[in-house]
Amino acid sequence: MREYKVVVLGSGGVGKSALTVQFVTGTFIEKYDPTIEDFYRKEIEVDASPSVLEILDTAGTEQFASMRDLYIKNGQGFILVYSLVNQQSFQDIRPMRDQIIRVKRYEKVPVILVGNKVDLESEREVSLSEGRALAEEWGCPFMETSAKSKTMVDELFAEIVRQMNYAAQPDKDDPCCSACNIQ
Amino acid sequence: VFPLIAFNIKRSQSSSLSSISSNSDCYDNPVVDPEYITQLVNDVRKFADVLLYLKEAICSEVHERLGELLRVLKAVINKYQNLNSVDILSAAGTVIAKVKAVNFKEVNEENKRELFSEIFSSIETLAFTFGNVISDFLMGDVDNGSSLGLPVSRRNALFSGQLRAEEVDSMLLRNDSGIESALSYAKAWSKYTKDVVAWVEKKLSLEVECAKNLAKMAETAKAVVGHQDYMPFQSIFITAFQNDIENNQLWQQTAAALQSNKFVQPILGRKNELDRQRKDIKELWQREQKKMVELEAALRKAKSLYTQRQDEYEKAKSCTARAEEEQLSSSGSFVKDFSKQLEKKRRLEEEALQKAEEANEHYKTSMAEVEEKRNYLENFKSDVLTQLRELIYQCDLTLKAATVNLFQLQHAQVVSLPVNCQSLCESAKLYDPGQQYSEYVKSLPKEGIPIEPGSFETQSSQSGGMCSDSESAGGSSESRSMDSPSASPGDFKRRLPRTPSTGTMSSADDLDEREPPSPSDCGPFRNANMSKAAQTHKLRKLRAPSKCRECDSLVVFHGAECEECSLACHKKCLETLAIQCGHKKLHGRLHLFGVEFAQAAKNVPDGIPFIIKKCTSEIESRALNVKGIYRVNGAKSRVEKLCQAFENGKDLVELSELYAHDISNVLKLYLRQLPEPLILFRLYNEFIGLAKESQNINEELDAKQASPRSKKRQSICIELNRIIIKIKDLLKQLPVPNYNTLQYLIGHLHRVTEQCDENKMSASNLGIIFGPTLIRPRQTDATVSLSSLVDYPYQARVVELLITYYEKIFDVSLKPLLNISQPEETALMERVALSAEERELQQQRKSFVAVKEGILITPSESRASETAALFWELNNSKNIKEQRDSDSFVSLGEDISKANLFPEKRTRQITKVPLRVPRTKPTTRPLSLPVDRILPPCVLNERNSQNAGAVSPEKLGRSPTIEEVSEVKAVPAASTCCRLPCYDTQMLRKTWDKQYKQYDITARTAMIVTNVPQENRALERGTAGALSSSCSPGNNSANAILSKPYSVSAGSGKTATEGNSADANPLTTFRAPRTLQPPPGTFYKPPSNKSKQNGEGSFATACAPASASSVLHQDNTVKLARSSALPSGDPEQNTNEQGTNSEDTHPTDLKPIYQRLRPKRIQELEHREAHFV
Repeated sequence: MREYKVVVLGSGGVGKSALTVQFVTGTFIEKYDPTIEDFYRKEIEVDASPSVLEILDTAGTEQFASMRDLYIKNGQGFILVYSLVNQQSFQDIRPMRDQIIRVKRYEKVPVILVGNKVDLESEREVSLSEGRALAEEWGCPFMETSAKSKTMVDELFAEIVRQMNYAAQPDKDDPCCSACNIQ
Repeated sequence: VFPLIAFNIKRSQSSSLSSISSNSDCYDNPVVDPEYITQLVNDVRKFADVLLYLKEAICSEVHERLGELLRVLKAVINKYQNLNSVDILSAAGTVIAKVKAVNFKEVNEENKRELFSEIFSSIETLAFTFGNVISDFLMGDVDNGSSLGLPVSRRNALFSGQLRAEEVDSMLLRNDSGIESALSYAKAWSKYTKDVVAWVEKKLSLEVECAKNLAKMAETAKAVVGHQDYMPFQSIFITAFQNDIENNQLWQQTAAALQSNKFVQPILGRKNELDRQRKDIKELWQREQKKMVELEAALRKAKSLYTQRQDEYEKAKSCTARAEEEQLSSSGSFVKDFSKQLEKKRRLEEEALQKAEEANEHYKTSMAEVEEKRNYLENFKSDVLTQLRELIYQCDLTLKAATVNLFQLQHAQVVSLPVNCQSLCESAKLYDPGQQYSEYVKSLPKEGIPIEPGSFETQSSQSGGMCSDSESAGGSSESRSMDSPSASPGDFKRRLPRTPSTGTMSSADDLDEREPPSPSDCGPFRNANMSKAAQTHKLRKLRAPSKCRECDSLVVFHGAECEECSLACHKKCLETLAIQCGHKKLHGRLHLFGVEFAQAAKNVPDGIPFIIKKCTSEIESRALNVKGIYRVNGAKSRVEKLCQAFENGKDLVELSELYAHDISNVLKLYLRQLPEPLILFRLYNEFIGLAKESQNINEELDAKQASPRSKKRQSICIELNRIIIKIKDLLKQLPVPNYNTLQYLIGHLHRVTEQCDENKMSASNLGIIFGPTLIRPRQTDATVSLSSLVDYPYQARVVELLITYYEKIFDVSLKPLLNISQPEETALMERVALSAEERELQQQRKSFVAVKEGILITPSESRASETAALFWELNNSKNIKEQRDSDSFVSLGEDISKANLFPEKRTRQITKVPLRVPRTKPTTRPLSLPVDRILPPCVLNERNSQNAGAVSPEKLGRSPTIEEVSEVKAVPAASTCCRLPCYDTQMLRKTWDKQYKQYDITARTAMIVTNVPQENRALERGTAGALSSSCSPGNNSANAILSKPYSVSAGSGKTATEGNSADANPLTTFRAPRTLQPPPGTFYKPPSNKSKQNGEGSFATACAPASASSVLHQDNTVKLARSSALPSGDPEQNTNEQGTNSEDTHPTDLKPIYQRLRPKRIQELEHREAHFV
């Protein structure tokens, strides 16, 4: 049974823990306590193959930003969460992805972009198309979820597993010749 | 060449593009001739067709068509060299890039249009550019500048005619050793690039090292210089250091880029490839040549064989001829023989002939083979040569790109230097000599004569102090103040000659300029869109280039400048300007973030940096109920801007229009960027240790929650109190500014938590967020270790404790609470602790009786014991009344005084209800009592002491009203209290550990000592224990305190005279302060208490420490301890009001209060003493 190390990243208060706990336990946590770091483990079946998900729920609060390198080093797949009722959290996502690429030294790290809190449609600050455009730019899947109403939560984690499976297959495209790198 | 291009195109857009340019370089410049024009037109038409073709292409064929397009373009350009312009090539490059960028696998009907629109637009650009160039060409004014300068010049100047690729090949082909020469050239190329790369690498490493050292130097210099305020050019040099650091970072980045993908690696990659292919080709070539040689040898052999066979045949032939002749001549009998012989010879001849013919055949085939081989070799040679040429061209291409990169990057890394230096130079010119000096003088404490600072101020506002006389004579002080803001180099120069003259001229100038802006509505910028802060300025046009205070870049045109504070800023920046007008010259840029805390603190009397006050007060004023305040991030750009504004405008920054999250973010950022956190590195381990202990206690509490009666809970509460006291104690080790700031900040956070229903930010939440911000370990290396991760929860716990027990830890509750309401503290207390304390108290009561009896026996304390007894009675009978009356008790101050002391105890002991009631009341008060607690505490202390005094009077049998009059009577007690405080402070200064040790010793000694001394000690311990257990001892504690004071005072001898707590006091007094010190230790180490208790035989239980001690001492002390133990808050309040406060102050609050308030307090106490005497 393959193990998948998933890291949930995103700025403070976007619902990383809520998503993770919703997925792992099927309940929505109301409490509003910042996470320092939590670790979860769950077995699921994706595309008929059983998988073990090891989920690292990280601190979004910037005080702990220094730990992010560590998370990233240990992670294989990344769920980048923003709150679609908070434009700033969307802005914070981009540097995180850059950081992932930088730490991994590899462009095609399995990543999923997630807009959380879709149940708060009325307070939406980040449009669907904005999120989609960013995901397209990165060439990664995108979904809008709600931990509260359990929308797309299981799908999300299934998809990250698929992404990691996909990435594990050897890449056929040759990187360009050295001349390419120059210009 | 074309196939090559196509090949390149397929490989990558970049290489294809460059191959075009490089190949085109090699062609001879055809003479531009009118004849060509028709041809050209045809070619152009062809090109247009291909373009169209490409446009219509569908996915699959796009690449082929693109290749065709490029081929045609290439051909055209080669043919008409003047069309070889950068424009066309770059346009073609864009097309290639666009086409390549499309992943055709993902193309579908939906996004096709979108995807291709870019390609189409780039194709159109190409067509347009091409058309332009063609028309220019036809009109005869081809812009030479736009054609490839380098190749042209190389063609024309360096070589009379550069060989085109085919010629190169054919020339080498004609040369026998052509391939060898080409190979040797390739080898030389490889060696050459190796040398170049080696040089570049060495240079880079030197540069990096140099950059690193420079950056380090700048860093240290910055750290040192940054501390020295009021030095001229400080900000300039700091900027210079900053520039230096940034610059060096840039250098390092450049070096890294060059070392990796920009220069070294591509070249090395190319070189290696070249070497490999060169060797392959060489090997192949040599093998072919060897074969050739072999074939030639075979040919030679065949030839010689043929000649030999020919000879043999000749021989045989002649032999036959001779035989025939002989036969003819000698006909006869021999004929037969001859004919036979002849036959033989003929046969031989035929054989020879046959052989010769065979040889001939062989020779001919060999000849053909050799011929074939030679042809093949010729072809092979040309192939190899082409291959080599391509290789070399490619290498050159790479080298070219890399070289361009190298010099471009080098250019980029130095290009900012002159600008920075220029701006520094400009800003250095702005400085008026003496400016900083006057600033410095201005900032001195204003003890001196008020006139002086005034004069300095004028000086500072003027450009030069020395010229002020003459100018002031002209009455143009205003104009001067206007000049200084502009403070441009030009102004500076202008002023120098001007100063000697009477100021009239200059003032006239200034007046002219000043006239328009003088109206308050911002003169020239009246219709500009201005922020709230911008509207406070008196703006006029900027007269000299300066740095914008809003965006930090240079302002030259469209600048605004404030007349009063000389703030300069872009007109458009007025919209967002956050700095208000301070109505005096604005400070130079301040380095705020990442600067040592001590430096920020020293400019402010109370040591709390303005930025903290600004941010917290803004948040308190409007954002306390914002959900997730401090947790949610602000917008990075706005946060950065705000930081900048704080550095530029200090406390003048206008925050009211900003988002709360941005403000909270700036505050966090500031704290996080302190080189050393507010809670200093050296205290880190101790704090974390305490946090761990408290964590354990919490866990125990959780475990024990179900069974509240267990004695362990009590001990847990005691533990918790002990930890809180320890934290208090640790905090005392902080420098005063740090302490004040921390108190201020935690107070603020405490207020945030009070709204946690709305903002969701509980103490533990805030703890997590402020944990690593306020307390972190010294980072040994740059990387975050896992161990620090482990500590995060404890860091958070520390901050959580600070916030939760804010009032106890910082003695804040005393100030407001004592006066108004004690309940706050109780509210803060953990409920569990409370209940446990209550139980303790009850137990203690029982024991108290016994203690009292014992005390009674002791000689001196009769009154105290009496009072104690009275209290008991009161407790029994009037518990409820007293509890409720507690507030009123203070005012009553009569016999009730006894009651007062006890009522509190009773309230706690007897019924929980009363306790809680008071809490609720006080809680409201604390909220309202915000920041100014420091002063109140003094008052409180005073009152406390008074109260203590009152208690003693009570014992004396007088009515101890809390009012001062009555207090006077009590004064003696108060005085003792005062002395106690002194002791306490001393004790505080000594480390607790020592105290604890001492305590142990004392315990033993106590055992040894006679009963009386034991009692004394016990009393002391009891009080201390009460303090610790309750954290905030109430009336009971007050009693205990009294006992302490007495003992202390006994040392002084006064207490003995008073005789309130006489029994214990005398003994203790004799022992001097040290005995007093041990008691606190007792709290921490219950066992010792127990031992003492054992001696007494009354209390040996877990609560023993407090209870036992109290028993030993006196009923009063016992009660005090209990009361204190119960609801710390309540007791405090009561005590304060009633006069028992002294205890409260002693245990928890004593230290801080004493330290800060000692002088006042002591004075007051002394006064009282005097009265009493």
